Formats: sequence, C-alpha cells, structure tokens
Amino acid sequence: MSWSLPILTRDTAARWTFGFAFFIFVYRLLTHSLVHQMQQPILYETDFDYTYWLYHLTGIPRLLADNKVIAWVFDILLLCFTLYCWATAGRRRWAVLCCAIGWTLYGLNYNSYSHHHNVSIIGVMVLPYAFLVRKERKFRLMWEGIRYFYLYIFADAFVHKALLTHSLFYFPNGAEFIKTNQALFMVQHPDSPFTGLYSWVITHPMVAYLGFLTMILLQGCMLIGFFTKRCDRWLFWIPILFHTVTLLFIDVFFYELLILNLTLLPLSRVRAGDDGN
Amino acid sequence: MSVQDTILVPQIPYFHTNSTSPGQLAKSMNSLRSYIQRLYLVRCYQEYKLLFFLAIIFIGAVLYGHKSSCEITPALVPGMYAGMEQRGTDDFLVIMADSELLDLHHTFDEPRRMMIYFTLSAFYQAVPFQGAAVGEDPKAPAIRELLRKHPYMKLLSTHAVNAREDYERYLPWLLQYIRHSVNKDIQRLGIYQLHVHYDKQNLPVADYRKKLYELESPHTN
Repeated sequence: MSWSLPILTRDTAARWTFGFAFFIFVYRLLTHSLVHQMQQPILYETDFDYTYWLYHLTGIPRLLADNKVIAWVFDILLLCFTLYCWATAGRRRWAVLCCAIGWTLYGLNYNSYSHHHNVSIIGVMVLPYAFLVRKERKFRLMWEGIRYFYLYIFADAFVHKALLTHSLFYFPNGAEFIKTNQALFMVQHPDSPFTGLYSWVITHPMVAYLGFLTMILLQGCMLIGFFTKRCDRWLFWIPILFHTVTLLFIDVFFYELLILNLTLLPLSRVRAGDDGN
Repeated sequence: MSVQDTILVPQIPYFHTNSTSPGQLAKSMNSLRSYIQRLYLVRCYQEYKLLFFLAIIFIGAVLYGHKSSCEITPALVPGMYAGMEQRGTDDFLVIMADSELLDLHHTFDEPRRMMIYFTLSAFYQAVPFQGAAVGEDPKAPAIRELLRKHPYMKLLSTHAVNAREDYERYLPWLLQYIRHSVNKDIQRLGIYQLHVHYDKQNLPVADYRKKLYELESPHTN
C-alpha cells in the first residue's frame, strides 16, 4: 500500500494555501468573528506580547474596530485578495502582499478583541508570505522555513510538558484537562452521549492518562522532522489526529492551523531553467 | 585506535579527528563541509540573506520568549496545558438571554464563544459584580513593574492595557454582539457565576449560581 502524499508545485501550493484561507474566511463568517461582525468591540488583550503592544500603538486596531464602514471594507478586501491570489496561484506579488498583510492584521485584531491569543490562526497569518518570493530556490527555502516553524509549534509544546514543567509525568493531568474543559458542558447537558463518554474517561484515569501521554508523545514525534524529511508522510497525519482528539476531548478547535500541514507535503524538484521568474 | 572508533568513523566522519592518514582526514573534512552546507541556516545564508536574518531574529525571539515569558508573535511559546494542578472546584460564567441559557457548547462555535466568554471573563476580573468600582486591567501592575526595570519600554506599552472608561462601555457591547451573533432580538441579559465542585469520582456537580450582572436593552440593531 502506498502512503505517498501529493507532490506540490509552487502553483498548487499557492492554490491550496489560498483555497484553505478562503475556507477559514467562510468559517470565521459563520462563527461571527470577522472584523465587521465584532460590533465595534471595546476591551482588548495584548498579553505580554510585544507584537500586540506595537500593533495597538499604531492605532490600526481602533481604526478597524471603531469604524463600521472601514471594518466592512477590510473584510471585503480580505475576501477579494484571497480569492484573487487563489485564482492567479499567487503570481501577482502585490495581491499576495495585500492578502498576507490582511490576514496578519485580521489575526492580530481577532486575538486582541477575543481576549485570547489563539495559536490556530497563526498559520494563515504566516503562510501567504511565502508566495512573495519570486525565485524558485528562494521560495523553496522560505517554504522549508515555514515547515520548521510548524514543527517548532508542536516540538516546543512537547518540550514544555516533558522537560520544562514535567506535566507529562503528572498522572492526574489526563482526566484533569478533560474535566476542567468539559465540566460546564457536562453539568448543562447531563443526558448527552458525550457527557457519558467524558464521565467514563474521567472515572478511568489510567485511560485518560494514556490518551494524554499518547497525544504529547505524538507532539514530540514532530521533532523528527528537524532531522529528516523522509518521515513527513507520517508526520503529516499527526496534527490531523492531534487536533481531532483535542476537539473531541479538550473542546478546542485547531483545524485552522492545518493550513501549515501543506508544508509537510513534498515539493516537486526544480528543473533546470525553472529558477527564474 | 579501538575497534569501536573504526566502526563509528564511517558513520559520523565529520567528528573524526584522530586519523593519522592525510587522505582520510581530507575525506572527513569534505564530509564535514558537505554536512554543514546542507544545514538550513547555512543554505539560507548562502542563497537568501534576508531569510537568514529573519530566521536568526525568530530564534532569538523564541529564546527571549522562553526566558522572559514575553512573546513576540509569531515566535510563540506554546506552553498550553502544561500545568500540574488538581482542582476541587471551579467557577464558570454563564449567560441567560431573555431567561434562556445562551448555549454555544459546540466546539465549532469557538471563535464566537471566545468573543463572548473570554471578554466577559476579562471584564469580570476588573469589575467583579454590577456596581463595583471599576478596577484596572489585571496586567497593569506587572507592566508597571516591567517599566520600573526597563523604562525604555514605556512608549511600546502605552496602549498595552484597557482604559478604565472602556470597562463601562463593555456590557452594552456584549448585549449588542450577542444579539447579532445569535440573530435574536434579545432584550435582557443575566450573567451568572456557576459554582461547580468535583465529587469523589472527579465528576462535576453544579452547586449554586450567583447573579453578577444584569442588563436590559433599548431596541437597537
């Protein structure tokens, strides 16, 4: 049985990236979290993140948040640039630049006004910049760099739990994370089959811990990607499995981050003469 | 030379320094050079200087973030779910919209849910109940301490916290956002704190709920 994944060219990588960005836009629209849907939010969270401090210092967030017309224009332009980049396979650099900046501003804005610096939006904030590069060889280096960035997100989460805080070895954590994230759901929906499932897992802490351990070790497996690309065909499935399990048990939605999974797909080899515009 | 050395040498020739043969040493040096040239940062340095400097800045920001706990997006410090604490009780904020529970339990609703409950939680930390004096942004003391140590950060931190008057405009915004996001003409919001304890089996049991805020709306869309 062959486990080969599709091989990307620069054009297909662009189409998949901006296609995925379009789906993120639609998802955000349906969950009422685009800038024009925020109803001119008031409170924001910058956390101890200097990027957010700088962003709020520029006054751009208030410009987008306070003015309904500007918020509408921003969202419409974001949609248009995303679709245009998809249609042109990211060949128009000015449009890619506008799209990339648009998603960066959107991510910073949403994370500020939702009071949670959500990692899942970081993928679409970063990946479009890869298509700003004109030369094929530079593009490949950029793409590879974002692949390392993606691996870092998982690997560092593993290092935190295994080496820095040692929470990986804290037995109650398996049930604890399910319990604290699902408690409200469980008391509000006592008859749901999911409440039954969560109750069973919580009352079997060994099962919960083994599940927790497996998930964190899977995060750790992403470290392999720093040393070889040969395992990418396997590593590709880890984030999908990981985010599905956390969606079911921990009540967090990280599928938007899967846009960075594209960097784990193999890029086609550069032919002589392709290394130009 | 031990037997073990002769086995290891072909596998990692670039670490082999005790060879006496000039040919073997040259071969090892070539392998080492080839290995170094394959490293990502070296390739970046040779072919794409800008990306090389961006990568160095990113690595520096990551190290700084780990040391100081101050992030510089996109150099994140993903330390979620790394705690070691077993809770016996919990408090949750729940919203009654026109006497009906605002139920956004589905995980797919996360972006909308964050806009409502995460902002509400932040508001609750500054204004713990209706009529309470407006407190300050919870991270303001930490920022003051940071500025005491690093005064040059003053300009950057100018807009890092919410102003006190912003908290006074929050509840009307919340009502307006909920009305639009669930597409219902909600007239009254009741915000409660639900206290939960975990029983012997570690399962949650609701104890009581306490009203924190109440808000009635004029007809605005």
